[in-house]
Amino acid sequence: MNPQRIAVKLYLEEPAALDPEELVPVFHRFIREDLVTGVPIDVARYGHVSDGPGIMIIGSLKDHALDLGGGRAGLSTTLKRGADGTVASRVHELVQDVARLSVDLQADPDLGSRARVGTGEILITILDRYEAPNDDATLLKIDPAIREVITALSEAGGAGAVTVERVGESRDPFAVRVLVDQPRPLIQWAEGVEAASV
Amino acid sequence: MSTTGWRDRLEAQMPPDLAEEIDIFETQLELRQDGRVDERVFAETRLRRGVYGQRYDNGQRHDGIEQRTLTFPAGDLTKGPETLWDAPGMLRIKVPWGGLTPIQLDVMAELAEEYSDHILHITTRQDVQLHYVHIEDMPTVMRRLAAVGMTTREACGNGVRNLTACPLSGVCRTEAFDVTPHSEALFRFLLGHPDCQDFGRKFKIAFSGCADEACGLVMMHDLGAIARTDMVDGEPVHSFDVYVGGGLGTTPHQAKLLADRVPLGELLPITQAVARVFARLGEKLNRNRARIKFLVAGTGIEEFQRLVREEREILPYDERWTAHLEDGLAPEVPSRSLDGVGEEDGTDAAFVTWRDTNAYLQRQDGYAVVTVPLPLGDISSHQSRLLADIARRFVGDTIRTTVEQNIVFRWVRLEDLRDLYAALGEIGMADAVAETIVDVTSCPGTDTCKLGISASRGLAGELREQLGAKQTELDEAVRGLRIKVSGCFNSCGQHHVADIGFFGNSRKSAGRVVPHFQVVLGGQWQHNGGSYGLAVGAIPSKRIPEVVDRITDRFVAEREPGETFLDWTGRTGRKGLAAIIADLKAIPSYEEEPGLFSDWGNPREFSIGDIGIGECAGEVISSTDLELSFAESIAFEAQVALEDGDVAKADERAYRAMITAARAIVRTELPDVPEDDDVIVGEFDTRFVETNRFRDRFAHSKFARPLLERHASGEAAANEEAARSLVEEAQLFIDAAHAFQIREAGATSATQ
Ligand code: HEM
Ligand code: SF4
Repeated sequence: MNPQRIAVKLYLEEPAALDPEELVPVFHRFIREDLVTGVPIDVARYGHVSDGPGIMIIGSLKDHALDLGGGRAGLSTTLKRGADGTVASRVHELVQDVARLSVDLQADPDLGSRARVGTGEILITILDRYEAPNDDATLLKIDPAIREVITALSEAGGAGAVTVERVGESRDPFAVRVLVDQPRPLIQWAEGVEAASV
Repeated sequence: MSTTGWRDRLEAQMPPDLAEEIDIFETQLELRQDGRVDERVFAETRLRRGVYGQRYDNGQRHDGIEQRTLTFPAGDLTKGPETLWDAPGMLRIKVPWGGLTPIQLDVMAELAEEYSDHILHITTRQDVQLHYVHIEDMPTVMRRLAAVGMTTREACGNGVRNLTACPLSGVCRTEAFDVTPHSEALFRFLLGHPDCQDFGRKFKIAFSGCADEACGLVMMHDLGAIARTDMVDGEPVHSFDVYVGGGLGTTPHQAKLLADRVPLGELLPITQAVARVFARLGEKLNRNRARIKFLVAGTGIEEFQRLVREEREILPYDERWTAHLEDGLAPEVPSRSLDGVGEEDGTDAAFVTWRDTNAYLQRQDGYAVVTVPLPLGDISSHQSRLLADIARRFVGDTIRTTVEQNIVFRWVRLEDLRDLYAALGEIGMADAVAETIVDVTSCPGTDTCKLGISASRGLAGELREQLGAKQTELDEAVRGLRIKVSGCFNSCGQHHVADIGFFGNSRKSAGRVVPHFQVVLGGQWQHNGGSYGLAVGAIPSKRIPEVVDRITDRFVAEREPGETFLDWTGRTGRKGLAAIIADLKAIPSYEEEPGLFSDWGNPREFSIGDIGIGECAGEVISSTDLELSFAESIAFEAQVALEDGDVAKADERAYRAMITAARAIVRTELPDVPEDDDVIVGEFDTRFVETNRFRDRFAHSKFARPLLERHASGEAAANEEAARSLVEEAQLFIDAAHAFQIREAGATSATQ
C-alpha cells in the first residue's frame, strides 16, 4: 500500500472558545514566520461551510487546518504529495506536524490559550479510495503501521493503552480513530512525539 | 500507482472519445515535463480542458510585509508562461444547463477530498470548480468525472464555454417551452466541434425559456436563445429568438437580435454558422477586442446577419442538427408520483418562512422547486454526499446548479416539503435566503484568481453575515434585492446585472495602496439581464457594508408606492446616487485607520503585487499547432507501446499520429474534412503531395510516403522492426508537417 494523501487530526478541547475566523491572521503570520512545513502558499477560509475544511493553510505538499469536518473542530495536517518512507513514517511525520501546530496555537498570544488541544483522540484518514477504500481489508493492512507509530510514541512516554477503530461508511475516505486511555498534556505529549523514532 | 489504476478500472465506464482525449492530455503532460511541448502550447492545451492557473502560481507572494518566493519542488518547470508546474491550480467542470445527478455529486465530493480542498464551488455560470489541484492529478480527476458522464473539455480557453440555461426549464410557470433538450443537443454538438477551434476568444451561450424573467441572462451572452411559442393556424409553434454579441467586462454590450422565430431544427446550424463567421472574421491578435461583441459592433448587426445567412447556406448538411428532435423531446418526469398526496400544512413559522423564500410552485400541479442556498457557492464534500442522499430520497436525478451559485431540487412533492426542510436543516442547508439580498453572489477574486484586485469573496461573506443577522428587520423591498461582487473589472461575478453590484479596484494614498470596490447600481436582472448598472464611485473595501446600508435606507425612505429599485436608481440619477456615498471616499492616514489598508478576510496589508498574468484563456494558438501537438502525443504513445513490446498498438498509434497530422494540414484548406481516413489521405495527397507543397528541399516527398503506403496497403506492421520504422516515420512526418506550416506561413506573410 502506498497512499499519498494522509491526514492526522487532533481535537480542540473547547471548540466553542474559539471563532475559526480568529485563525486567519494567525495562519498568515505562521506562513510569514515559516512556522509550518510543506511549502505553504496561502490561507483559505471556509468557516462559512458547516462540516467543512474550516480555515486552512494550503501548501504545495501539505495543508494545515483548523478543520470543522465531522462537525467537530480540530487541528489537522494533510500530506498531499511527495510522500516517501513507510506508511508508518508518513503517519509519524504528520503526528509531529500536528503536534507542533497544536503547541504553537495553544501558546499563541493572540489566541490567549483558548486553542486547547486534546491528545486522547487522534483521527487518521487516508484520502485515497483506490489504495485505501474504507473497509476491513484496508484496516488489516494499515493496522501494523499505526501500531508501530503508537508503540514508538508510548515508548517515548507519550501515550498509554490504545484502541484503534475504523470509522465512517464505505463511501467515506478510510479513517481510523485512535483512542488513548491516559492522555497526557499536550506539551509533554508533543515532546514524546518529537523524540519518538519510527 | 493509482493513476494507472483508475484508468484501468474505469476504462469500460468512460465514453471512448473522452477517454482518448484524456489519454492525449496525459501524454502532453509527460511531454511538457520532458520539455518537448512548448509552454504556450501546453497552456492552451490545458486551458481547453478546464485546467486553470491560480493565484501565486508564478511563485511570488506578498506576505503582508515583503514579496516572497515560493520554492516548489519541481523548480523552474512551467505549465504555461510564468506558471510553475507544482503550484496547485483550478479545474473547472462543465455542467451543461446546470444539470446534475446524485452520483455526479458523489464523485465530485470524492475528488474534492482526494485532490482538492474538500470544497465544491459552484460558479456564476453553473459550473463546478475544484481548487488547489496538482497538474499531475488532473488526468485521474478527469477520468473519474468521465466515468459519470462529466467533462472539463473547453471549460476554459478560446472556445465554447459551458452552456447555461434557466434552472427552472421544464417546470417554470412562465416559460414558452422546455429548453433543456435543445440546450443539451447544442452542447453535445459544439463540444470539440472543428468549427469552434479557431476562435480568438471565448464564446458563451445561454438559453432562456422566456423573455421577461432573468434566469437565462441571454442578453449578456455571446449567443443566446430565447424560447417562444406562437399560435399559427390555431396550433402552437415553438421556435427561438436568437441573440448575438452580448457580454460583460470593461465594455459591456447588450446582445442584438440575430434572427427571430428560428425553427427548432435550425438552431444548431445557425449557431454553427455564427461560429464559422466568428472563427473567420473575429479579431485574433488583440484579445481585448476579440469577443464576438466587437465583431458584431464592427460589422453592424445587418451585415453580421447577412454573413451568417451566407455561411448557413453553404454549410454541409449534418444529421445531428435535428436528431434530438426526432428522438422525441421526452419531458423530465418526477421520480415520485403524487398518488395520495395532500397539501402540506404550514404551521411552523420557520418552515413557512423557508417555504416562502426557497420554494417555487411548478407549472405542474402538486410539485415545487426548492433552492438549497450555498454560501459563496461553496459546499463541502461531506455535505455534498448527504445532499446527494437527500436528492435520491426526494427528487432523484433532477438537481440543477444556478448562476446564483446555488443548487435547486425540482419535482419536490408539496407533501414532502416539510420533510425535505427537516432533512436539509439537519445538514445545515435550509437557510431561508434564496433570491434575497443575503444570498450574495461572488467571483473567486483574490482568494484564488490571478487577476483579482480586491477580495470579492471576503466582501460577499461579510455582507452575507451582516445582512443575514438583520434579515427579518429588512424592508420587504430591500429583502428581494440582489448583490453581486466581482474582484476586478472582468465581471466574472456578473455585477452589471445586480441591483447592487461591486467590482474591485484600488487607489493609492500616501504611498500605500487601499483596496476599493467600484459601486454599480441599478443593473437589471429581469428581462434576461436587460440593462446594466451605473458606476457611481469607488469606495474603500471596508466601507462597502456602509454603502449597502446607506443605499438601501435611502431607497426605503424615498421609494414611491410600487417603485422598484431599478426605477428609483433611474429617477435619482448617477449624480444623486454618487452623492449618497461621496463622503465615504475620503482615505484617512494609515495611523488613523489601519484597517482600511487591508481587505475583507485577509489581514495582510493590501498589495497589488500578487496580481499575475491572467488566464482568461491562453494565448491564441492556431488549431493546426494544437492538432499537431496532439499528433505528437499519439506518436509518443506509439513509442511507449514499442518499448512495452506491443507491436500492434505501436503500429496503430503511429498510423493514427500521421493521420492526425495530415488532417491538421488538410484542415488549413478544407475545414470540414470528415474524420474519415480515406478522405483525409486522399485530400492530403492531391492537395499537398502531388502539388509538391509538402515536399522538403532535401528529403523531397520522403516524409509523406510512409503514410500513403501504410494507408494504401491497410496492413499493420508485421513485426517489431516494421513497427519501429513506422514509429520513427510518424515522428518525421509530424516534423515535416511543422516545417510545412512554417514554410506556408512564410510564403503567406511574404505575399502580404
Ligand atoms: C481577462 C480575463 C477574464 C475575463 C475578461 C473574464 C470575464 C468573465 C466574465 C464576463 C464572466 C461571467 C459572465 C458570463 O456569464 O459571461 C466570467 C465568468 C467566470 N470567470 Fe472570468 N474572466 C477572466 C478571467 C478569469 C480568471 C483568471 C478567473 C479565475 C480563475 C475567472 C473566473 C471566472 C469564473 C469562476 C466565472 C464563472 C465561470 C464559469 O463557470 O464559466 N475568470 N469571466
Ligand atoms: S472578476 Fe476579476 S477577480 Fe473576479 S474572477 Fe474574474 S478576473 Fe478574477
